[in-house]
Amino acid sequence: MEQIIKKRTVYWCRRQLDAAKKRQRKSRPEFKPGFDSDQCIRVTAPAVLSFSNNSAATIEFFDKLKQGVFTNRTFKVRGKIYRKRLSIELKGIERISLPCAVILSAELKRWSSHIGQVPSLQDFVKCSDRVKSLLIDLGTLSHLGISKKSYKRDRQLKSEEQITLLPLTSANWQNAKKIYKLNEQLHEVFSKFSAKHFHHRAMLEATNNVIDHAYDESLPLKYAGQPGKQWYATGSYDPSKKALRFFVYDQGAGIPSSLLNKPDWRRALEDVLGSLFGVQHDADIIEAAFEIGRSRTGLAERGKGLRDIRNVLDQTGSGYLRIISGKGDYLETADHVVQKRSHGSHIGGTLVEWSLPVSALSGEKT
Amino acid sequence: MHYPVRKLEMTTISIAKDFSRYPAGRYTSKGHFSGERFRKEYILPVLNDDRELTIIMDGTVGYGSSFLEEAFGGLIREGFELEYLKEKLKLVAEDADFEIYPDEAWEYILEAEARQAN
Repeated sequence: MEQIIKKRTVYWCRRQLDAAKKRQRKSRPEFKPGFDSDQCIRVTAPAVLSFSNNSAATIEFFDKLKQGVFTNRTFKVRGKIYRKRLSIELKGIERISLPCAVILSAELKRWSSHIGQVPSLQDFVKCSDRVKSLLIDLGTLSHLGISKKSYKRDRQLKSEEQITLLPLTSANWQNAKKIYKLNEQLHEVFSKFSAKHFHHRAMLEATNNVIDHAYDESLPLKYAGQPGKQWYATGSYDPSKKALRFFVYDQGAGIPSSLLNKPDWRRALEDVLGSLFGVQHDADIIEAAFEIGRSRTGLAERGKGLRDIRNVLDQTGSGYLRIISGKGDYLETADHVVQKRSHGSHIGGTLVEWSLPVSALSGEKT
Repeated sequence: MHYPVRKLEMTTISIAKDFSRYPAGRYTSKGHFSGERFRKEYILPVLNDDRELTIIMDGTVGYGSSFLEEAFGGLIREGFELEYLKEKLKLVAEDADFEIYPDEAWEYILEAEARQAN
């Protein structure tokens, strides 16, 4: 009898203790990382986000963003491990170039699709209308779960002067359908646009190069172990400048590194550039690669793709092609004027941009 | 007297209708409608059977050089001889936008032949 009473007492005590613990847990809300510096990594965009006008600060911003995402950011509270929040402040941006909007959107898309934690855009409503407009167009906010209510068009511009960017499309395999659909979407925005075979082909080969070469496992990536080995593509229509622009972006090793990694290409580049010893300029390597693609058909693979990418300029006789890859920034116009520059740091991938007057891909005259 | 039956059947394949409107890329591991897949699943079974093959190139959204090189240049790497391909393979395109592709595909075959000769 005594034993039964003892057992029941122990059982009652345990239940009371469990109930007390439950009450305590309820009264103390579950811990969530806040925005203090020890629980949050804050990345602030510079006032000018542009590779042409503020390259160092722009690359630094993208670097910090990737460092925040891809480096270990755990901390312990009450014995439990949490991940630091990552907060991006874009409200300070006064000017943003289209290539930077594309790269920012691609980074956020990769982040939300592969890291699984949605980043917080601090004070997004306070961002300039252009930033909001471009990110909305690219579909970035829908990835981040931000409602469209906060979206306002640039009030200083009439609707016919607004730049329209198409939603960023991406894939991790060679997908001609997505490129085709992108061109169809552009046709919906600007009905006079009609995709030509050479243009489809240029975009297709740019994405093929990404899948075949940019993420080659033997190449060192700027941020090791990064997920989402994809290409991203979009297009834009600027009615005020009567220009169409197309972009293909990847987060790979860059064209110069991947070419130098292939013995036959290395030899061919050495022939064109002399000894590669002392060549610091990635833009020189990109230029030499185009030269090789133009003149030599004996090289397997890559040369033909580069020729197709450049062929748009020959076919249209207008516009320009710009490739920002590694540290190199290469721009060539249809009349063969080349501008090259070197950035202080690797941009963390490759951006190919074609800019064409609307007359090049429609019947309209500029 | 019994004569062996010689297969004289000619096969026609439309890339757009029988394979895909969206052909792209070189290798099957990197794309569903690659040149490698088209060569292995559509061209090789016919040529290995010693039949003539006509390939209609119209109707797709276009071709990248990597698809064409792998699909057609790859035939030389598979061991077919140029003369045999000239005899058995016919590439056609009626649409003006597609006229360049048969010639380009043959260029890749000739290039692959030249590379192999070296």
